[in-house]
Amino acid sequence: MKKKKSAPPRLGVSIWKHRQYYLILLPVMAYFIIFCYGPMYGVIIAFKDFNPLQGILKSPWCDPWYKNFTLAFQSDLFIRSLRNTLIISFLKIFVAFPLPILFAILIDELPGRRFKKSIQTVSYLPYFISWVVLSGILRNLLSTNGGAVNNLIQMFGGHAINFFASKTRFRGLVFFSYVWKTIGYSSVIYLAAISGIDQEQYEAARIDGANRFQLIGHITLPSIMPVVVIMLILSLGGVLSAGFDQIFNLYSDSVMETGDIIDTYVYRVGMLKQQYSYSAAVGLFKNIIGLVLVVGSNLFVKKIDSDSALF
Amino acid sequence: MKKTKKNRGATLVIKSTGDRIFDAVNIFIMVLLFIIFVYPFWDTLLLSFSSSASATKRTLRILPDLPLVFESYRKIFTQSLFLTALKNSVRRTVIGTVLSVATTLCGGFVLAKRSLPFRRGITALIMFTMFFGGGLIPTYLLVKSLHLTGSFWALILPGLTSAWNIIIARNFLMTVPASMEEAAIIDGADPFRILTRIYVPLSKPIIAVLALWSAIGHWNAWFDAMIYTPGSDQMVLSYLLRKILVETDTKVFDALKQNTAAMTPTTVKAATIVVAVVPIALLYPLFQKHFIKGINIGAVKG
Repeated sequence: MKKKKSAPPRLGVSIWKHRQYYLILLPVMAYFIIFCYGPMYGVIIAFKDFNPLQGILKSPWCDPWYKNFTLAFQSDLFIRSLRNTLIISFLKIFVAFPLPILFAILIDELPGRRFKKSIQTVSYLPYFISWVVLSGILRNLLSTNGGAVNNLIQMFGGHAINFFASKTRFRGLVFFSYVWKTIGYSSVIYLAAISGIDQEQYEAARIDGANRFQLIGHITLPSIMPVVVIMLILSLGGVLSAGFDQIFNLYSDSVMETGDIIDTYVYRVGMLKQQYSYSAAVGLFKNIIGLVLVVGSNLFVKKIDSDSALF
Repeated sequence: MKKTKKNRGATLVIKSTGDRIFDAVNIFIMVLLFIIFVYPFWDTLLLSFSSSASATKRTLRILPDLPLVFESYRKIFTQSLFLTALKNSVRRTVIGTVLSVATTLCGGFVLAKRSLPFRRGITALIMFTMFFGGGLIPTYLLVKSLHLTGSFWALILPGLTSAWNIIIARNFLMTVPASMEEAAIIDGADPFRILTRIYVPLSKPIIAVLALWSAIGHWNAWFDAMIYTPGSDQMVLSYLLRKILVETDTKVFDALKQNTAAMTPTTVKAATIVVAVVPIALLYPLFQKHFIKGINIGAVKG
């Protein structure tokens, strides 16, 4: 190894020396080239009038090349899905965002290790269950025919509500089920940050007569603020991904108007109506905005705290 | 986490009235949340053991209605479609997890080799796929053009590994001291032997994290089964669940309802949910031990 440093080997020699490493890497690279870069090549159908019989190469180019994108922005359904995506993302990124932080702080403030542990354990569980199953559990829970929530409402003299068919309540359903599934898991990173805070700070502040809210406001929150800021900025990259899996398993025809998002729209137009080029264009639009947002927010994070940037 | 933490309310200073009120309110909120997290699962479990008559009762289910009714489970476990789905789910989970962990480790191992020519370029090529992709339609057309649709491999290959996992594995493997590898090279070991004999035994924590994530992912996956392998002989449990719970597919329902006049579908649905959740619940203690590490393992740096 020391010899190498004194006289760096020629590139060809070095590559030959590592040939077995490249061999091990071969299946990995094959995967990325075929299944990740393959679709990136295939996305050129967004600029073509793709016909499955002619294939990607032989299908004619669009005239003008941006035709599918113009069509999208002239489509009420696309605009509707864009609006719903932005509203649902806004709910998830800004309204739901502080909740895991609050949850982590409350857990940290709990007296008794046992209770702390058990609430953490149960709060993570929904995160590992698929949206298919959670949707089934929610449908049972919110059912108008013997569901626990409606039973409770009726016990207090209210009227049963069909949550899954209500246009006005659908985003609420999406929001609360999202918080329920993710709050525990999202709080892990904040709990880790809180556990790194020097305990002597708290003791000193208490001797000075600080109460619990002052401890949280003046020690806990400022200490975890860097993590909070970074998590918030990084989540901005996903603003056009409002959660396909969740929406697709919760929505139905009756809530399309408030629930249809870009990803579900792409699925329906592309897979069910087989308008491949058009839906590929809509998907491409979404992915490019996503890329710009990720790169942009990463640059921003880099300025604040270069250690926390993704790349 | 290692530091022994004292309870903040119980440090040096004696608890004030304000502290007691704070603790009481906090405990109240947490007990409420505890119920909100647990009750939906508990309710489903109780429902799966209920008779159809008690399934639509207008009261809250809190304790099991005795005697327990096993009819729903008997129904689903005598359904050939359900058994096929269960078998296919286990198969894709086992094969998918093994192949995925192996591929990810190979990637992480090679990219952890500092002297490898073009290492940075290859890493960048892989990392780019974290931020950009062709999207649903081009991916579907690709899988179709590879003649994978309708094949078991359509459920394995498109999600074989991911940039994120490879980077996590690489960061972990880079912490293995280089001296161990050098010693092995002097003994005449080739890279493959170094990977399997030195790195794999040292990487148990990361292998556990990768395997658990991959297993959960395969067990829960339904979308790929829906678009690539919709045939009933290739049914997987998660997709069957979607058909029963979300799409309310009448054909599947009829198949499940065979000779079950007394059995309402709700209890059958609940039983199917329980069967899907049980493996995750069983893995859960193991998962809890490892997954927090997964979050904290290394920043993703190129």
